[in-house]
Amino acid sequence: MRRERARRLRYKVCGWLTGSALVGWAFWWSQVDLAALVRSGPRWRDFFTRMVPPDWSVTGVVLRSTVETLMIALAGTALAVVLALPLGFLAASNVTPAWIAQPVKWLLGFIRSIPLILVAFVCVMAVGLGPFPGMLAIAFHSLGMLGKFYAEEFETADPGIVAAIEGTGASWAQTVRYGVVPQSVPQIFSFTVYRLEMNFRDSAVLGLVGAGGIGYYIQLYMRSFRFERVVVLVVVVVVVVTLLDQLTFWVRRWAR
Amino acid sequence: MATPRQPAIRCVETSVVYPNGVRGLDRLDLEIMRGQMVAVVGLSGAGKSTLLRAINGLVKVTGGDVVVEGQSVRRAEGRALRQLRAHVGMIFQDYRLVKRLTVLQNVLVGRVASVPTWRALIGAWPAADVDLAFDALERVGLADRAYVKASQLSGGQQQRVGIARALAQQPSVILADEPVASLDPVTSHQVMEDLRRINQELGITTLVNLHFLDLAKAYGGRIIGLRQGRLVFDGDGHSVTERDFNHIYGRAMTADDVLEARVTL
Repeated sequence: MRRERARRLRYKVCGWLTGSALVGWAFWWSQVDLAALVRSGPRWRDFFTRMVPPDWSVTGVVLRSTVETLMIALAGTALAVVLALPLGFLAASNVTPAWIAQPVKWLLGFIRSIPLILVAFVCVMAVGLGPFPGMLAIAFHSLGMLGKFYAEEFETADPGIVAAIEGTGASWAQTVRYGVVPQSVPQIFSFTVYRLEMNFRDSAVLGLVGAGGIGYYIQLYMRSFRFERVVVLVVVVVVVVTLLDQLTFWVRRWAR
Repeated sequence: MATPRQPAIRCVETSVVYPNGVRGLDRLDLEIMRGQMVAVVGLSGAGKSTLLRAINGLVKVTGGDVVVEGQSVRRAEGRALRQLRAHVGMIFQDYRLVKRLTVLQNVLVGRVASVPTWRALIGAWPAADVDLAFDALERVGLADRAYVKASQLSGGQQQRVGIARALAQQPSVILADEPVASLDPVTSHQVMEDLRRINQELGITTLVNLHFLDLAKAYGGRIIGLRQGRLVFDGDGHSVTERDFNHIYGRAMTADDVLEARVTL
């Protein structure tokens, strides 16, 4: 018993040491420079003083591009859901044979691992500038994550109930419809709304590569040092994100 | 040809060996006539559930065959198997309702095999099938709860919805796997009464796995005893004795084997 205790203690110490070493290395790699942080004081002050008074004249433009970003996120998420549901069924090992489910899971993982900005770049090159490539990029990028989540949610369906439905003579599609789907609907709905919220925040960077939305103005104002306009951007985005946050919270609570 | 004493279910040297090597049924020979109500008793692991699941093909028969209404279960596949299952209603110990759906939707699930797939998928049930579902609910006295979510019902009510779902299939056979094992004594009797009434009024062949011997004696017109996957008793429910039960169980009866231990003063 005592030896077992000692062994466990050794493992624990080793774990902590490895973990801290890794994090320390990460800080070193990030070239943490406290002196530079101390010296940066005046620049922060400069940045904040030039924010006021905000240039409210751009509010209209900013609002319009924010709405565009919202719409890109909504359309992209909707397209992703339409594609993710069938892929989710195909990837769920309790409704699809493993030799199909496993490759579909790999495919979803592959999709998920491509950074959004890269997808957006490719889409812009393919279909030109504007919100359309942005929407495509958002749809493609969320597809991987939504599909995986849907599949995992379907897999948690109570196998007893699935068997009971099969036992009434239901076909595969009917069994999925009544045995699997109803059990997963609240989680799927809630997660999809959460993904929509994430997609809005992600869409903000699309403009950097010309794929529409608020990102265009972020880079435009920042590069021309128009901080009094940047502050308007920040205010609008913060307000919209907060509202969306609250809205999705209500919707998700209602879904449960 | 159609004599009333025709077997609804015939087991011919039926064996079930699970993939993990466990033997569920061991060369079982059995005939159950149309309209009979049969109680299946035995220790847990004796093969009661396996027998019921073999009859509707939820468990694969590995030797011999099971014939339901003239149709071989072992050879049935795809559409034929689904059609066979559609005529066999099943009731479970844990009800197995889709709790998020309403009572009516749960009962309508019993109709899926009989309506066009697209209608079932989008929930556009034909009026005739909704009527059937309501009839089934009326038989178990729950028509007024049709639009309540299944999760809001008590255990006994949920089990009666389970019965209604089986009834909605318009089955020729009902299989009930320990239908009252999760219920209190009073509710147990109500559910067993429902099953008996349905058996008598509609003439549906009914097999009930029961853990409690007094329930088996009270409600089973015929009692079948299984032990280690083999048929060790087959007789009339009224004439069955304690010695018969001892034989089935391989030990003396205890208070745990009956629903209501008799109080003697």
